[in-house]
Amino acid sequence: MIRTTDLATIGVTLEHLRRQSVQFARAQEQVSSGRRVNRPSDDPAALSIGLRETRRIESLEARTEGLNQLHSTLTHTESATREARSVLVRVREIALSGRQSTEPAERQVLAQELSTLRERLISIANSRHGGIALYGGTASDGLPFETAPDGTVTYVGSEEPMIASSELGDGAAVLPVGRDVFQTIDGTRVIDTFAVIADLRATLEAAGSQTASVTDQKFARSLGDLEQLGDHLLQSIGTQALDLQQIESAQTRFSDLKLESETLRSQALSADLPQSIVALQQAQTQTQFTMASLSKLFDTSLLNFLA
Amino acid sequence: MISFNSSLTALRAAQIGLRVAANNQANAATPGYHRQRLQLGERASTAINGVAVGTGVNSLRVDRSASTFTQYSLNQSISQQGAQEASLETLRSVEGVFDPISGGLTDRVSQFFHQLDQWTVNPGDLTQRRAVLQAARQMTGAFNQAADRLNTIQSSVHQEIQGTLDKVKGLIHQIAELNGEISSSRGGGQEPLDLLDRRDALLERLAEHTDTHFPFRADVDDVVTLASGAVSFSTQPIALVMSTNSKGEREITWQGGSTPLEFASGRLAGLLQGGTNRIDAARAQLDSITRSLAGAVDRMQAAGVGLSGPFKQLTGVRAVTAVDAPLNKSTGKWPLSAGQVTVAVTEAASGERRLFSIDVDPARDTLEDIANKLSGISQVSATVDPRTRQLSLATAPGFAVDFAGGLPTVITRTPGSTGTATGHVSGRPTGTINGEWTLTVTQGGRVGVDADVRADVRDASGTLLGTLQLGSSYLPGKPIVIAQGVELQFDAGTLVTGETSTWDVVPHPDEVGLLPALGIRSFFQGDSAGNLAVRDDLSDDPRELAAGTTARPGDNSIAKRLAALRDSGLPKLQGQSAIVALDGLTVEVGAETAAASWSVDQATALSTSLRQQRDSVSGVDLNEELANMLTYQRMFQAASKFLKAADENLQELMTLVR
Repeated sequence: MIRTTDLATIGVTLEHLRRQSVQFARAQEQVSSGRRVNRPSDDPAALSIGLRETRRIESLEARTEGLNQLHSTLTHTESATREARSVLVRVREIALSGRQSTEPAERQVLAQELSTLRERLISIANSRHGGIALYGGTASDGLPFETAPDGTVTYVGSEEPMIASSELGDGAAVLPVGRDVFQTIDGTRVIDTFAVIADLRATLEAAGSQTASVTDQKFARSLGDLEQLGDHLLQSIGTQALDLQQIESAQTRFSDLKLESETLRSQALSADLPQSIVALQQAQTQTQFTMASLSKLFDTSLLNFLA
Repeated sequence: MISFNSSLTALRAAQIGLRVAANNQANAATPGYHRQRLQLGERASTAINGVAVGTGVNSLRVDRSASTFTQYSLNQSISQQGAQEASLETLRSVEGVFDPISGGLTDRVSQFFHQLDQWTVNPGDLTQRRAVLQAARQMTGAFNQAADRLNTIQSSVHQEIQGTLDKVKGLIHQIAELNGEISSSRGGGQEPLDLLDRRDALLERLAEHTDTHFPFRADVDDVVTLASGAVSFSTQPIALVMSTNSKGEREITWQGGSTPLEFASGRLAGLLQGGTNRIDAARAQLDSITRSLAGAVDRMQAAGVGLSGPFKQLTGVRAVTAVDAPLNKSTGKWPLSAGQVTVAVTEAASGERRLFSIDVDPARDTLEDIANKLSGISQVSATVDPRTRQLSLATAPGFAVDFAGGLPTVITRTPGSTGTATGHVSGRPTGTINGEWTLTVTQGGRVGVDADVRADVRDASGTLLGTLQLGSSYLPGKPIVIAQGVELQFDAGTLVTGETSTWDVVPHPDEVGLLPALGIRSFFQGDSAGNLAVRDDLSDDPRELAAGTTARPGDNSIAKRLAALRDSGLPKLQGQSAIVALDGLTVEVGAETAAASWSVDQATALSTSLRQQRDSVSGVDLNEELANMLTYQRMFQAASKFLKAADENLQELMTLVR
């Protein structure tokens, strides 16, 4: 028969109280922190899942932030390219007007407007955003297009585009090579935007001193070149718009993935508050019962019956 | 008169019984106290008129209620519990070092990669470069802090071992002394109950600190054995000594012995084995992760150039242990493999960049050999400082070097070629093998003019990579993609059928792992978690941070590879990324802590149960003692009454005599 002594009873009671205190503290910690796992040993398996999802979230956040910056840069590039295309449209209108004009004064005015438009195009080609040249490729620090004293515009940027991260697949240029944007090739002939406008201006200025057929041939050639340059810019705009679309698509995909990971992480690490509160209540009640029963046990003693 | 004697023995027994009960009550709360019992025996009867009549009661002895088996089991359990508690305490401390919930190391590593990600978008931006360096400094600081905390925990464990050993020595002294006293008492014919209680209590305390074996038998000498029976003592205490072995580990030996004692249980076992082993393992894992991450970052950084371009002078920040020892022995922490290291030499005036490779066999080559090989490259001189055991490189005036590999700026034509068209290669090799590629003109003519001008390009193994059409459909000067990221262009001129040109294609400039091992153009200095730091010269000048393989500010080729390390598996980490390996270490320590906590709970429950069993035999039940008190009180009263009755009977007889 097991003998029960006062000391043993108190020892067992203290041991139970200690355990209940631990449970009580743990439930209280979960309720107050909102986390089910407050240290690795609380639930290593859940922590493993939680950490895996945390890393995914961090990776997605970093990539999304990078995409946001890329989006901003590429939006500016696309916008600048669209503007360049608008300028070219106006140049073509001037070319058409100049071809039909017989008034030297009008041609002079048109030639002056061409100069302004060419300056505008050079300015667009040297556009910067966030401190980097949009059309310089990897040489993003200086001006990618330099104007010589004779007015010739030369591309001095990098021959290598700055490529976006792998999110957008291979070849998505964040910073395109300016030469590829403002030049096109007809067979083995290079058509340069700035040279074409300079030639067109020269044609306008020299129209009075040349035969009509020579002038018309030059206008026709300029118009043809402008057409090709316009189409080429449209292609560039199309490529940039596609890159932007890819970025937006990636942003949406990352956002969905992030939400999914956040849900999984929450399931693994976050406290189920109603459950934690019930556990807290249970631990409290258990502690009260333990102390009440101990008190009850010591109420009945032979001491109380000895005279 | 027999009646008087009988009553007298009863009165004496009752008095002793009351004293025993009183003593039990007084010690009801005394730790280690075993309740005592008065053993009574019937006295021999005597024959009165042929009738055997009892003569009273004998108070034989007072003995202890003790269960030796339970006490032995309890000591074993306490010893196991002590080991597991000590182990758990250490694990909880180690767990705190890697706790990701409160931030710390993993957060810092993640933040570093976050900044690298941002850097890829604007690699030339100095503010972003500073942000990368700041994040790197915070990350290395977190590694240093983690290593420091592990060291602090280790120091605490060592202090704890010393403190526990001091307690053990004190207990051994006290037990040996008690053994002597118990032996003397027994020699005098007395069972020293109080001394036995005190010794049991001391043995229980000793068991908490070390594995302890004691026979608990009266017929066996009082010999206590410790450390799996390796040492024992009885009345003469033994001296235990702590020392540090050649590996820096703490050992305990007994004075006179040379073999380290192995403790199977008790706090000493938990501290010596569970505690220090876990700390050593955690430190080794942390160092391995540190080196893998730093090595990968350094390797990529070395393969790039800063915004200032190639370098005129370079000095390694990692020293070898001996300049004349093979590299695989002198750079032990940075494993190397045999292969080639490619050095690119650029002439500033012409911009011409040439590639030179040196063969490195780490099993044979010393640092001095490497310096000699590098010095064999035109315009490069390498020296080894015998004092610092570090390698330095310098170039001749007008030249600079880099380790970006890739492609040379010009291709080498067959001597005697009469073609006039000049070829240039460009691009970024993406292949897996370094080697020489060869272009062979299969149909000569004027580049960009004649209808059919063709050339084949083959790699080092002779595999045809592509046939280039360089005739009238080709615009001279326009790059043509060959394969694996390599492009070729020809200026206007002629190509002659059969002529060949060659050039090196080097996607992997450091096949050996030499540059991170020697700290040349590395990102970090130091080789373990405790001493990892961002290179001072990088901290001073963020422009020197290599975002690409060229000095162009928009070149993000290296930055992208660095950022991709966040998710890239590293060979030395079993294919895990550094951050996943850190998480793995966290989970591993957490799982061990949880398991240890469970073990402590189990051991505590077992000890509690055994203590309950022990107390059910040895403990004092006040109700029981009060009942005994009543029994002896009644016995005393009855014996007194009997004496009174016997006395009255005798008085009656006396009356008759008178």
